[in-house]
Amino acid sequence: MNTPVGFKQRLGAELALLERARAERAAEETSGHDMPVAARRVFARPGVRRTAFVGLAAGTVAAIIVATSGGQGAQTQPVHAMTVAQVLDAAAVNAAKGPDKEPGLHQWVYTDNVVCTDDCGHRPSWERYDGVKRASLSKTSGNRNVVFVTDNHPQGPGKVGDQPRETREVLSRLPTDPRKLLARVSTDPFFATPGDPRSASMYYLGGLHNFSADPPLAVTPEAQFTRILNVLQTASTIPPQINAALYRALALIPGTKLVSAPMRDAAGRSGITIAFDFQDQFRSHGYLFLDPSTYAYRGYRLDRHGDSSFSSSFARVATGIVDHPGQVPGGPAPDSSSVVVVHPPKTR
Amino acid sequence: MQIPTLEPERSRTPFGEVYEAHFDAILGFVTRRTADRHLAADLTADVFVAALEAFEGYDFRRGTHLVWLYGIARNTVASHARNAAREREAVAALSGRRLLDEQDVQRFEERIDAEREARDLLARHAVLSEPLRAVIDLVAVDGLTTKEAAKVLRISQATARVRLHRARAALRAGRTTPSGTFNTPLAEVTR
Repeated sequence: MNTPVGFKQRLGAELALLERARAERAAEETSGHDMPVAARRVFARPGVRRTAFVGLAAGTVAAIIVATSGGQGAQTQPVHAMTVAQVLDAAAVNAAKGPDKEPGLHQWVYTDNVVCTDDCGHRPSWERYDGVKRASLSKTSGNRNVVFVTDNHPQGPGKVGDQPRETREVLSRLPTDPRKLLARVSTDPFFATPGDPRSASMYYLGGLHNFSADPPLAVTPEAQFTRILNVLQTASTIPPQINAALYRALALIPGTKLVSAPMRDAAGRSGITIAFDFQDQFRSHGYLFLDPSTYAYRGYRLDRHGDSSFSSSFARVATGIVDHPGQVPGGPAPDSSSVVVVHPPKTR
Repeated sequence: MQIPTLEPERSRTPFGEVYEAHFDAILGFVTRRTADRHLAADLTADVFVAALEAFEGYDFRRGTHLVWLYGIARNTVASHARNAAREREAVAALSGRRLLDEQDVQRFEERIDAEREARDLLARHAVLSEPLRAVIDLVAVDGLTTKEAAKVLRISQATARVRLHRARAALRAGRTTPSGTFNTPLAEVTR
């Protein structure tokens, strides 16, 4: 009778997460060892007696657990698994609630990413909402921090993330039905990614190759996953209903799954991780990170294996709308002496 | 003679199954006692979070899962009534209202509307003292047996029967409205 089905599912999923977190915490407290995650998870299952293992070395513990859980048969099954669809549904519900604030044309969208390739570092950046200018931090030869403001002249037809206002306008015209949205994002060249390709690694090389000249690609789950991820990563403001539809569209792509072992993002935060395995020559793995309490987008990671394996990850640690380049939300406008405006040479 | 064990007899049913089986009953319990869909969502979430916290120590000899959950729901709703916001904030592990989408909100409203009669009933016998009302609520409104109500309230069956009897007598004696205006459940218990 009048069952709020969505609520029931989401609450069930949240409870499953809580249950898992509790079990993991209990296992950590009991073990006191830095044992492998896989072993810890078996450890955390109900029905596996924990106290007996205190004081044993990690390797021994894992072996004994296998024996014990084997003996207990079906009792050691995880209580109930939360599905990737439930997580993405919760993310969509929260995303739909906003907040929805479109910046003023001359306001700046501030983003601070932590980017890890060989090493990690903060990459704060500012984009003026009308898309005409952008800014970044740099050091002078005298080791002084300066804000570099440059004109922004995207070449060729617009692409998602090039200019905040244009991106938002295109996004707001997308259908909110997740199937229709996925179809549009999969085929519209505006959403083409550097990687759209058979190879996820191309994504990383963004900007080095003129992809618009490539022949159209078949719509593969790889390309779909990459395109949605690219929107979440590069669009600095997304209308809430579209944001919600993006998560629901992600849930429609075959191959996404929830990572059970906790992973940390580039900024060292643990949260919800959704994985996607690329069926490409590099056996790439993509990971999408979500905030564990609000499900907001937090960043992604891409691992490529093979001859030259590499890993790159991005964590969005701060965003906001400010009035001046170099300003952080709530902070003062930077001193004009530390702002360097670079104009390109006039061609006319 | 059997020596009693100190270990509680653990439930072998996974928590997820308990949730699936009794979600509707607990939602009903909560919506009969609140008129605000957001609050109802929060309290329903609170009940199951509290149940999850206590699940390991749950001893099924104390009653069925449903009876156990009703006990938790009673405490949750009562503690909300006593000291609403502050207590909730201190214990809230997750926000139920955050999980609602538009369709859910609609369903909650339908649900709350459907439970309106039961809520009016609760209000009408608010003249009873709390111990008497607690028993008659569980029996007349939530449809529990006297035995189950006793377990929820952690009182003996005899006490529950006595309180139920006294509640009925008090309602009959204090009845000022014509009997025909009472709706069925209360009419039944006061007969």
